[in-house]
Amino acid sequence: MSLSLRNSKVVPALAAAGLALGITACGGDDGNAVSDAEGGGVGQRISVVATTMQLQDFARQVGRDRVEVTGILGPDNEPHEYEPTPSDAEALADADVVLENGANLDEWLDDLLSNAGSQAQRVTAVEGIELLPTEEEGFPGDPHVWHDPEAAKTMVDNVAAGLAAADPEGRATYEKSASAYKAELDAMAADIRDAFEPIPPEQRDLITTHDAFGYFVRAYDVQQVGTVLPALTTESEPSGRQIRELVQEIRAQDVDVIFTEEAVDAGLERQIADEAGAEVSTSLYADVLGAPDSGAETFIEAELANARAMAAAWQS
Amino acid sequence: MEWLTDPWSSGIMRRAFAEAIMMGAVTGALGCFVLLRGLAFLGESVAHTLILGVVVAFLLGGPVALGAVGAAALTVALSSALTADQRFSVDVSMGVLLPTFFGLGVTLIALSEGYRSKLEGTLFGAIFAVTNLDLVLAAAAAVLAGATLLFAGKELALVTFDRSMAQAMGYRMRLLDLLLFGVVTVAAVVALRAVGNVLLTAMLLGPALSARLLTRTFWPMVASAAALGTLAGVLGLYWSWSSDVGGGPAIVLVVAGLFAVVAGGRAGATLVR
Repeated sequence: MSLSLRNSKVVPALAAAGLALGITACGGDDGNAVSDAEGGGVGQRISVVATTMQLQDFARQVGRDRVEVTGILGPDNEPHEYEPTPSDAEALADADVVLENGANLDEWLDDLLSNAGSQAQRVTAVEGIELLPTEEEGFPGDPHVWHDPEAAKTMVDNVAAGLAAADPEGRATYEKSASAYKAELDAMAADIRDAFEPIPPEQRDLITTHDAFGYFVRAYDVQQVGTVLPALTTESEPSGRQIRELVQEIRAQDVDVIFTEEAVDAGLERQIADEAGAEVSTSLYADVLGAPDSGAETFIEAELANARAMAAAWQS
Repeated sequence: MEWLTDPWSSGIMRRAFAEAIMMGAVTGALGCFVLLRGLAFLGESVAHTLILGVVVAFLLGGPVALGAVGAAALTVALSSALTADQRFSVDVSMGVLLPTFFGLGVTLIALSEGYRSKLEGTLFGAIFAVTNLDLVLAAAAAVLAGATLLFAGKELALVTFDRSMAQAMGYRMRLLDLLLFGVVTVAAVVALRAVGNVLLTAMLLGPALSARLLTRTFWPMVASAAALGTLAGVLGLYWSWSSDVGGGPAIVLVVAGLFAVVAGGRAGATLVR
């Protein structure tokens, strides 16, 4: 819904800009008229559609004012079970570049792209990254790659390369802002390691809703004790045995906090936490970023918020 | 013997057992009326009408079970109003109301798409997430169903078996129909929490079908169906406790298994004779 709103604001603005430059756009064939308008500024923007919120942020960081980013997933969407809407198809039909995560996280994009008849440059962000193995069938590997800062940097490079392929004139800009952003990612990783420093690695016990933090755990020396949902996705109901084993494990490891994600109902986690004598925290951003004004709207803010929430839980 | 007592040491399992036992007994017993009236459709459509209540409760942030009860009450009230001048039967009014409610519910889900993943958990049931409030509601539903059978059971049975006879005897058919649909809806609310919307019909019809094969007269059938529903709930949870099968699916599979055993046993007995 926000999509069409955004478009309806952009189109008149672009038309106005065209008029100001003295271009007569007869008939109002908006898309082509705009990309034909030479001379820099708003009219030069290429249209980028990105599936996950992480990629939306990467695209904005790398593309700066050369790109107009449209997101498919929002703060309330689970990427694993997203059902595309007609406005998504509309956005894709007009896109110059489409950014997908890959590794089957957003495999619904395939149908969407063929339905939209899109000619866009398609970028798979996890390309060239070695995926962690997963027991889940249907996944080539764990798709939650961005939680590893090194892998996130590779994703940023892939995004920059994709943008440059669609907009060769902007290559220098993209490469420059990508390397600046990668430096910020390094600083973020250093901040997270600093925050975890005082806590011995064996006390960094993480229990989450689904296996989304495999890369985070590896990158920052955290112990993944268990997950409430047995599978990698957020779709299945756990069995009695899985719940029993998890409760035993939480007690054995003396875990204080179970983390759930904003986008998943926490009823079951609360029951399990009660039984095992732990608390529930809903403060992790696993698959999505925060809503506006949450303080975690960008990837870096969300990762730092995750680290702060974990550190607070381990220190209590 | 440890495997027998072990599950009861867990609070989550104790609540799940309580929910499953109450749900099994209530859906089993009421399912007999649904089955014999040939209203298999009723269970399915009641499940659909509840979606509206669930969605509204969800959007307002209230307890889902209360939303479902609200939708159920609204359904019965509107059905009562629609049938007041006797031009429509209660079945017809349900046939109109339930898809309407379902449509409204689905529309609301579509409009609030971000909540879809949370809602799906609700619609498919989550017996291990049952709270004390859910148990209180289940107990109230059980008491209501029990009281209905105790005080109006004879009348409901006659309406079920011989409508013209019941009419000739001066029974208030419309009131009795509404009463039956009302308690079935309440039972559905309980089952909704335990096994979810999709598997609800199985709980309503499965035990009743098995009981139909085991018994010759009505009230023993109702009693056996209640017992079978309870048994399925308990066995299903034991199964889930020692396997990777989710709670709701395990219960429904046991219902189906019990029916297979009963039907197979009967077929075998006929062959021997």
